Order: sequence, then C-alpha cells, then structure tokens
Amino acid sequence: MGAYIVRQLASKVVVLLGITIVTFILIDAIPADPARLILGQHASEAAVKALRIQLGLNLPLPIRYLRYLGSLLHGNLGYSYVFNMPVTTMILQRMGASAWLALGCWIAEIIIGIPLGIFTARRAHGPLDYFISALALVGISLPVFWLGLILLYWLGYIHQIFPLGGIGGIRYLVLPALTYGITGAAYYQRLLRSSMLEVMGLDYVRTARAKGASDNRVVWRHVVRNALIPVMTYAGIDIGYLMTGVVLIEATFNWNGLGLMAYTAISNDDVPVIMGTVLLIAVFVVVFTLLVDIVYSILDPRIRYD
Amino acid sequence: MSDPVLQVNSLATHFPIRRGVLRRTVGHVRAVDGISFSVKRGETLGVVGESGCGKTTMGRSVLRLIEPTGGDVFYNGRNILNFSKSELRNLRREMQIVFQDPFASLNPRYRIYQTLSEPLIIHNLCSPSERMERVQSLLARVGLDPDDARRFPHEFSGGQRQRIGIARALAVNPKLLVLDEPVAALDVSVQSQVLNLLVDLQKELGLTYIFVAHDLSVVRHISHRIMVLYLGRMAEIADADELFENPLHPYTEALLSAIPMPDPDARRERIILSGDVPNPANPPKGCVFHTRCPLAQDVCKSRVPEWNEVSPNHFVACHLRA
Amino acid sequence: MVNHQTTMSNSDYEMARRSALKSVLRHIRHFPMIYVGGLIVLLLAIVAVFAPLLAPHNPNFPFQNGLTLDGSPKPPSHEFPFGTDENGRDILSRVIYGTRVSLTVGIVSTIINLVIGVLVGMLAGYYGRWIDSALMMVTETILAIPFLLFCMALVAVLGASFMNVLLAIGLLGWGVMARIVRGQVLAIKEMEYVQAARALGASHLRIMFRSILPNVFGPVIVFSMLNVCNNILAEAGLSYLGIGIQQPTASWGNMIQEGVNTYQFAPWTLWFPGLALMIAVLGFNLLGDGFRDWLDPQSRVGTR
Repeated sequence: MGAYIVRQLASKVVVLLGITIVTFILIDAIPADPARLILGQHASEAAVKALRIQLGLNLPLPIRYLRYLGSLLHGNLGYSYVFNMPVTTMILQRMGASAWLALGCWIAEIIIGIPLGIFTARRAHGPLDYFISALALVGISLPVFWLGLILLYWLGYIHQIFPLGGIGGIRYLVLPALTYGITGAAYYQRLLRSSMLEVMGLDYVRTARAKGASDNRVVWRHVVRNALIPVMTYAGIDIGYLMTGVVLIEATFNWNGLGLMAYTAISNDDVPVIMGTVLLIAVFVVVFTLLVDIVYSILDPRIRYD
Repeated sequence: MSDPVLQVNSLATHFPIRRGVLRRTVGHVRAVDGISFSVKRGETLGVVGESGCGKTTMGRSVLRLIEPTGGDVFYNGRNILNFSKSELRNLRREMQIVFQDPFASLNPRYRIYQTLSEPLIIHNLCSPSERMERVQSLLARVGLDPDDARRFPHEFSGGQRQRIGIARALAVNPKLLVLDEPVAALDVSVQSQVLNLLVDLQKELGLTYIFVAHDLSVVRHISHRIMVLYLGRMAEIADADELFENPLHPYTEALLSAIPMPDPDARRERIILSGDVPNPANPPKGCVFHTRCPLAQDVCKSRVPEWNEVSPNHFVACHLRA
Repeated sequence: MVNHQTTMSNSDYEMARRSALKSVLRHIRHFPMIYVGGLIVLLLAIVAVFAPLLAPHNPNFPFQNGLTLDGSPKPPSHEFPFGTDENGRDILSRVIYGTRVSLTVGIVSTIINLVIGVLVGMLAGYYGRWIDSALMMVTETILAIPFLLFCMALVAVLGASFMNVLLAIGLLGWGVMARIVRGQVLAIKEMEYVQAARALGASHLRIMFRSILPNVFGPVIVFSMLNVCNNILAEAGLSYLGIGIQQPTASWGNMIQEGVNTYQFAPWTLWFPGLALMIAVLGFNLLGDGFRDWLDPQSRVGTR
C-alpha cells in the first residue's frame, strides 16, 4: 500500500509537469504581445523591444520554459498585465470566495441528491421512481447558466427574495447553490440509486432479511451505509472540481471568484492571469483526486495495489 | 509415424512477479519449467494435468502465443523461437490452435462467414470470389450446414461453436493442431461427437495433435502417447496403453484412480490427494510432488528426481519408481 | 462483406438482414427512452437541415417593427411567434438557425473526440507497458484541467470563431472516452477470439481494428451520446461568455448572453433559446441512457 501511494504520487508529479507544459505552450501561442500590452498602445517601438528583452521573450522556447518552471517553483505565477499585481496575490484574494461558493453548491447537490437516491432505490421500478428519474434527466440537461438566469429573474427580480448577484452571506449564496444543486443533484441520485440496488442484491443483505430484520433496519443499517462508499468518492472528486471555481455560475451571479477572474482575464488577454489560474486549478484538481484515491483505498480494502 | 514434426527441448515460460514502487521483479511464476518432448507426424500427444499445472501455457508457448523464456522449439528441424515476424506469420499456416471455451473463442460481432474467411484473408489463400465456397466447404467438413455461414455465434450450441472453432483452425490447412481442452466445456454426449470428429479429421488430413486435457479419460482413446504434467514439470510420459496399464508416477496413479470404472467388479482403490497444488512461484524443493505424494520419503524432499527411461519409451521422474 | 454466391442468394441475405432489423426494433420497443430521444434528435436534425425553409424571417435582420416605440424587444405575437430580441430580430428564426450551430458543433466535435479517444484508448490498452503509461499520463493531464476553462484558454489562443470553438472542444474533450476505450480493450484483448486472431497470424492493426474495435462499440456509442450533450453545453457556455460563436451568427448560447441585457423586462429573450438548448441536450441524454439500458443485460432483468 505504501508503494501504491508512492507510485500514485510519482505519476501525479509527471501529470503536473505535463500541465505546466500545456499552459506554457498556450501562453506562448497567444498572439498578443505581452510587452505591447504592458506598455500600452502609444509606447514607442524601441521601448517595446527593450521590454521584450527584459522579459526574456527573445530567448529560445526551451529556455523560456525552464525559466517559467523555475519561477513557478518559487511560487511566482507572474504579474498581471492589466492589474499590475502578482497573479499569486490575485488568486489568494479570490480563493475564499470560490471555496465558499463551492461549499454551497456541494451541500445543495447532496441535500437534494441523496434523499432522492434513497427514495428512488426503495421504490425502484415504481411510478414514483420513473417520475423522479425522468425529472433528474431533465435536471442534468438544464444549462446551468440559463437556469441561474431564470432563478434570478423569478426569485430575485420578480419576487425579490434574493439579491441579484454579488458575493455576501447565505442570502447571496442560496441562488447560485440552488442552481448548481438542481443540475448536479441528479448525478448523486443516480449513483446512489444504482449502488443501493447493487448492495440490496448481495448475500449479506439477503441474509439480514432472512434473519427477519425489519425492512427499514436493513435499508438503513446495511444498504445505505455500504452504498454510500462510491457516492462519497464521487463527492470528494466533485468538491475538488467545485473549489476551482464554477466559471459559468460565477459569471452569471457576478461572484468574484477564481472562475470569474479567469474569464475576465481571457477577455482582457491577460495571459499570466489566465495561465496562473488554469495551472493552479489543475494542480488543485490533481492533488485533490490523489487525496480521494488514498482515502478511498483506506476505506475500501478491496482495491488491489498491484 | 517416424520423423518428429515438433521437438521441444527444456521449454520454460516464467512470468515475472513485480512489486514495489519501481515494479522490480521479485520472483517468477514458473508456469512451464523445463519440458522436453517430441511429436511425430500424424501422432496425437495427450497432455494431462490439474488446472494450474501449466499445460495451457505450454500449449500456447509452443505456438509462441505466449513467448517462452527458455528452451527450444524445433518445427521440422527449424527453431521457431528464432523466427522473424514474417517467418512466424508463415508458421501460423502450419500450426493452429483450438480453444477451450467455445463461447469466448468466437468473435461475437462476426458472422460465421467473417470468422472463417479471416484466415483466408490474412494469408491470402484464395480470391475474394472463392471465399464463400471455401467457408462453406469448411463448414461441411466439420459437420455443419453450409448455410450457417450467415449466422452469428450466439445462434449456435456449445458443440456447434466448437466445430466452428475447429473449422477456423483448419482454414489455413495446418499440419499441427494444439487442442487446448477442446471438449472440457461441453456436455458429455457432445464431447464424444467432437472427439470423433477430431479423430476423423486426423485420419483424413494427416494432422498431428497436441491434445491438452485435465482428465485422463478424455485423452485415452484419442492419444497415441500421453504426458503427465505437475506444477509446470513433467511427471511421466508413455504410450497411452502402457500409461494406463502400468502407471509409475504416484501422481499418474492418483489421476487414474479418479476415472470411474465401467466394470463395477474391477474396483480400484481411489487415491485422494491431500492438500492444494503448491504455488508455482515458490515450488517445493526436491520433487515438486512430495508435499502431496502418499509415498514421499526423505530423499524426495531434498533431491530433484531424474528423468529415467524405465522401459522403452516410458519415462518417469520419481525416486521410488526409477 | 459477403459474397452472394453459391447456395445463398441476394434475397436470402436481404431477408436475413431485414429480420435482424426487425428484431432490433422489437428489442428497442422496450426502451422508450431511445424512441423519445431519437424523435427529439431527428426533429432537431430536420430543423437544422431545413432551417432556411422553416424560419419565418431572416435571422440576422433587425426589423424596424421588431422593436417597441421605446426601443425594447417585442413580446411573442403572430408576426414574431417567439418575440424579438434587443436588436429587433426574430427570436424564432434565430432559434431555428441556432440549431445548426449546436448540432454541428456538438456532433462534429464528438466525432473528433471519438477518433482521438478511440485511438489513444486502443493503443494504450492493446500495447500496455510504457505506451500505456505515456498515453494515460497525457490523458490525465488533459483531464486535470477543467474542460470549459481549457476550452476558453484555447479559444483565446486560436481566436473566437465557429471553427475554432469546434476544434477546441474536439481536441480537448476526448479524455474520458480514451479511458473508457482503454478499459474495454484491456478486458477484450484477453478473450480467446483475440488470441485466435493472433494464432492466425493477424497483424496488430487487424486485431485492434477488426477483432477488438467492433466489441467496444456499445459503451463507445453510449458515451458518445453523453459526450454530445457535454459538447453542446460547452459551446453554449462559451458563446454565453462571449468567447464562442460571435454575433450576428445565432447560437443559443450567445442569444442567452444577449437576453441577460433584456430579460428583466423581456423575459422571452431568455426563455426560448434556453428551452431549445435543454430539449436538445435532453434528446441526446435520453438516447445515451436508452442505449445503455438496452446494452446492459442486467437492466433487462428488471427487479431482482
């Protein structure tokens, strides 16, 4: 098992390196000239050229990559062309907002998805199961930004129960979380439903039934508990992705997190910010999936390590 | 029946066991460990042993479907382990294999026509316009309806599928067939039909068989000689009748005693082997069989028995019976 | 594939094929999701192909009478059944033309995903060893970067246009497909019929694409349908953020983006493109789920 974790770690390091290569190539391919962007439209050609040399933009590609990698190792993601501040600082400023939003979305998904999953599993192949499963399919098919706008219109504008976007306390969180919850809960419902149906068919559940344990007791003590293991794995990976900022939700609700920052940076051709965010988000996803892997391997001893 | 078609010398197929961060090789599963035999033209060599004794690996190693890790395999005097890719491709026309599981050995997405014309296409054996004719004559040869060509494997019974598997192997007109437990997955009544088909085909086409099975009764009548394997090693080899009448290795005796006797009076004492087959990654020292042998003595635990010709063409690896 | 010679005539094969088709249809009847989803997708395809015939107006023409006196969009009426947008353009016509964008991007990018994913997954699963490790590293790298953000960055590099949106989604969205195919290939390559093909001397290419490929098709088709959903939503999301399909070309995503300006007093500018988007995604989701249930023998058994 130790070897398993070490191997996982090693492969993740390679993946991280791959991500830096991807972001570097993208930075390099963006047509905008950074020196021109920094100095503005009216700077002289000579000044732009001098800055290009100062920034090392004239060096060959592999050397620039190594310099990029070196500065990354020092925690330096570069400076924003537009805001003229370190990308690291900008990211740190917005991480809290994205985490807060992520938590809200995550809880909404779980609160809606898990009870529906248990409910539909217990009434599998009945009319209510079909009805809810059909609704879940519609939920999956909803474009999240559109649903967000509809909810904004209805609950924010017409009934004025919730604010029309922006960051704040729980009141500000409800609509974005609900939006995400509605579109994402279906995955939890489906996963839990099929996982419970699988567990219900297993021998030890049949044995428990045969022993005369009551239906409720069997479902809660044996089925739900075991069926939740795959759901927990999914939830772990899910929160990892959510933490990195849901671009569409953040843009729709004007939630100033990482996703909105990356989006604004793309509109502004602010290359260091785009790539810094993409890189950081990818690193976060990789680290998080690694953690989930490890926790899962501890929880479920059936996984083979070789 | 004189010159050997196939001559196998101390064939070995070891699978590495990898562990740890760097996947270092920490040991080997000795699936096949030093097997030597020869097969003459038109002969059937039965290969018998419990599951896990390496007989399937041996069959596939001879064909280089699994690459052997040691030894030589001479086919018509040429060592096929040194063959290049293209030589190996040509060799496929000489040596073919029939698999055990008739449900897994036919591509479920292929019509029988496709399955049977694939060898013709790979080796460019006939023009496209002749293919249907060839496929239908192959089907007829194994006792199936030529019209079956357009059907899918799931429309056939296990015995019929096995006939299709045999037809596929015959499509390239091979000289030698490795039959990897071809009837083990079939009902007893169907088994004998398929066995009879194999005997007929051998006579008609002059085929040479290596017939792998896990029980002796199946190979008795089809085999000219029988080799008994235990834990990847040879225990005994003899002409079929000699082996049945005069088994020397205690393991062969145990296998024989498991066969039900047709004559109720001729009672034979059933020898029941105790214990499990040892792990081939860590075989016992001395005679590999000593952990389960009812006759084992001290010498068996320390010294590997030699391969002795006890009577003409009857070899055995046992300290006590040499 | 088959030579119609000797004992079997053309009509024999025709009949066999027809009865096979019939039995497939009989099977599908138990899976209403395939019917409903197929119907939705078929209708959308008809709308996309015949858009010029079906659209009542030029989708890009700003009508003088398409705006109220104070310059705001007009609500649905006989002339403009879905109302007009902030430029006085007919929303129904724009929704109809938007179908072309969504379906083309969704399907063509999925085909690109499919080709890359099948190739990568097949090579990784079949050859194993270092080829597998290397290809899976690349796949994991692609999957580690959130899809939409990745597409945004690539479109920023390539420039926002229909073709570049399609390419970005097509080139970045194959990760899960590759994983699925690899898993299937790992299982199938050990099957005896693959060993039989090897024993016959079949080349690696032949084994991969003739023996193995047809047997991974089921899961690949199921996932392709879900992939179309993701890609349609990705295009709409990009266009909604203003870095996808550019005005005046109508895409459901950029229509919703425009609707953001007007929805408080003209909510229909938001409703119709969103509904169209939802119906399209629902159609492909239904097809995917239906195919999965159909191919999964367990689901045919019903309750245990």
